[in-house]
Amino acid sequence: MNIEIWRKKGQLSRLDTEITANREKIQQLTIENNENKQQQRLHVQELQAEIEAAYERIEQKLSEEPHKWTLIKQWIRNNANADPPDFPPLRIGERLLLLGLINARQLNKCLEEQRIHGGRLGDIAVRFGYVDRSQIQDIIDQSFKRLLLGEQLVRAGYLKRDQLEEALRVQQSVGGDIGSILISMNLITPAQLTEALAVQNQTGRLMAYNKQEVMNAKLPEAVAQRFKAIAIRRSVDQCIIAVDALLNDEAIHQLAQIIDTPVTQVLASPWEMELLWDQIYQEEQLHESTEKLKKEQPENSASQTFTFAQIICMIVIGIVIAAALLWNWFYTLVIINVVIQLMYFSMTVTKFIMILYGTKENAQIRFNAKQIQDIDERALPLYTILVPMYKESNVVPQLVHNLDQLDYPKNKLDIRLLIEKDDIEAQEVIQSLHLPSYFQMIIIPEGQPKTKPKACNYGLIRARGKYVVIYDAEDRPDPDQLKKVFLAFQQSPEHTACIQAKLNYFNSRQNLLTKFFTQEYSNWFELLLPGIMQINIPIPLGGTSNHFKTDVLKKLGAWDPYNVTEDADLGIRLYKQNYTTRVVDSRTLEEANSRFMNWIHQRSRWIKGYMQTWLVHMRHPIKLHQELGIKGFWGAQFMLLSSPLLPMLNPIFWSLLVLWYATHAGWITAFFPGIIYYLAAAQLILGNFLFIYTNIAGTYWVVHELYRKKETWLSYGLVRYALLTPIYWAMMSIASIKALWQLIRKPFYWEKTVHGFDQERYDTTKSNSL
Amino acid sequence: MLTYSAVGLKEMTVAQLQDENRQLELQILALKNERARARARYEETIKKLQATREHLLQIERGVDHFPKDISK
Repeated sequence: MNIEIWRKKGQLSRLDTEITANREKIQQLTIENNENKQQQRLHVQELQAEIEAAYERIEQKLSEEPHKWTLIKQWIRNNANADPPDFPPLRIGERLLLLGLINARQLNKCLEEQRIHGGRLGDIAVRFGYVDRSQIQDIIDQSFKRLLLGEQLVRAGYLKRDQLEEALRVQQSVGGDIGSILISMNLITPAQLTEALAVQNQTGRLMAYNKQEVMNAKLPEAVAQRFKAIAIRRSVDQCIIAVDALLNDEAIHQLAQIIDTPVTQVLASPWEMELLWDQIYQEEQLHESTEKLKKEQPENSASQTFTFAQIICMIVIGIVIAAALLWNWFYTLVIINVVIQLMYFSMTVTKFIMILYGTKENAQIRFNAKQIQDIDERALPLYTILVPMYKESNVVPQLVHNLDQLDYPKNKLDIRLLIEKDDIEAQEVIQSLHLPSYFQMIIIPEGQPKTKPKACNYGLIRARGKYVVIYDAEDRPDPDQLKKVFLAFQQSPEHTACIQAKLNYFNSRQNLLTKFFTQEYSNWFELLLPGIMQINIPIPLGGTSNHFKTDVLKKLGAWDPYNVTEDADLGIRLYKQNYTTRVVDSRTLEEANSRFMNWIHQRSRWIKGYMQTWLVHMRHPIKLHQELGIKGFWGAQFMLLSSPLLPMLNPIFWSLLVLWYATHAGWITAFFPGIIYYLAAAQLILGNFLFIYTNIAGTYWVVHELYRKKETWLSYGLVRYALLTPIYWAMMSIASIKALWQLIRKPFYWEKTVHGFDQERYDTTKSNSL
Repeated sequence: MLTYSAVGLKEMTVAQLQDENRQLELQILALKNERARARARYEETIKKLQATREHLLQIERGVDHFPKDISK
């Protein structure tokens, strides 16, 4: 024990040294940062002063040679469409100066105002009373030459001509606008693009703004959403709005009528707009992400776990059972047993049928390598990827690597990393990575419930993609997954709203638990889910890799933030609205839970979510029956009830079996009268065999397919562990009892699953699904 | 018994120190990020100002060399 203390002492002194060193480093960095900022500020001020001086020098030179100045003025007036010889292209301020309409001091004042508040220089000069509106308009009408965006950027010195040519070549093959291509190639910054667009379109550019002023100018959220515009300054005679895509005259006119003020627009980059939305409409957006579904479709929201009618119903059932037990406890228990045995039997048969359907070749949408290669990338739409995460900064570098592997034009990606406000570490790690512009960090404001669906709803509000998909932070999607889904949507009927990719685990070899989990997922995603799709009953979606049509998802009210298995719930809601879901033959590899307690947390949340979903949709069983039809209704019952109910009932019957073998008690036999005995025996032998066999078949199916594709991250050795599945069932029973307890005590509590225990050891990211 | 308590106390202290160290490392990362952000902003501003300065120098030269008789 003394050795232990001694070892700890060593550790303590090491930590002390590290802490002291880090404190010193912080002090040093703080000083350096302040010094750097000071130096940078001085340098910027020096250059600004030089520029101011240059304007004054030009004015001075012109004043000293009045004859020359007159000639220059004449030249500019007479050759409005061209710049004077040996002059660079003149900007509006310089034209005003050379024409003698304003002096250098006034021009510098206008430029300073523009630096602080943004807006167009001409408008500022008019506002300051230096020139008339008509004078400005004349200059603009005569001199303005609209250049192509690339030319504009080259002329501004932000881009070299060969870089532009390279980007144009990329544009020919992938399509999309040149601005986003240049940004995705990291050749220009979003701010430079916005500035060039503003010059090209002769409009103002959003500069620094005063938050309080913006708050005072705030438009109603619905108006802001409709026009995708944020008012940044508002007076009696003018409202300046920031937009990331210019509104046309008609929209400007409509907005001016709504707010009863003339409107001027300034351009902001999508990233600046995101920041503005976050600062100005955070409360509204938070409200929308948590309350929209509850407000618009209260019957579909899990914000209330049990309705009054359900409580009454449960009390009545309880009273009836209690009364029956008092009347004749034995017959009552026999009847309950009969009902349970019939339920077991029907669930076993249904699962078997589903699996049979799932083995069909066309149960999944499949594409070969040539079909993927033949895709015309110009036709690919913008794709939004939502990645909600919480306290998972350790997996961020791997996540970025995995998403970078996606074979999809980068200018058509809108990746939104959804980070909770209190997760400072993740925010700092993401910033330190200097991610390309198609990655955007969205900070989810504090607020209850603090769940993944709420974060996804928040990220979805301004998602720009035609399609949207969710990935977890540790996910490794097949590189060609987005392209496969694009093709799947193209080939599916219009009412297909969701394409589910298959999930599996990269760390199956880690321990027995990960082996069980891999078998379960192989069975579920390779056989059962495609089977459900074939039978056409509601599909409880997987937690990630479900690809949606963004407009349909928004129309449906997106995810229920109060439901802890929002994915399963959304599957039912899609079916209710006559949308279909299909399964595509593409995988996303995740990290299987390798620790028992972590697994229990995750599984109990899932089971609780299934209970929640069942309770929500069974508030009005008759209405649900009408909405889903007979097949859909019973399919939903099977899907939602089997997960929580079977694991809860199993321990009772296992105990009875053990007790019977131990005691041969006659009362146990009496509970299984006549045909029920044979039914239960068939369940015991055939049912359990079937469940184990489907695990074997599912696992073998996946491993075999992978070997055909020369992928070896799963081995045939995994199949034999299916024989130990009963251990896994026992664990499920523990999780389901915990889930029931939590459903009553903490229905909305999102039990966090910890990821990132074994990321590096299982690097499968280099393999392609084709 | 005393030995056990001592080990427990040490473990608690180690955990506390590790937590403190982690917070300090986070602060270092935040400061480095702040520096990188400021640098990026500065470089973009300077690039723009230098382009403007160059542009104005060209105008100045244009004024200097502007022909006294433009009919030529």
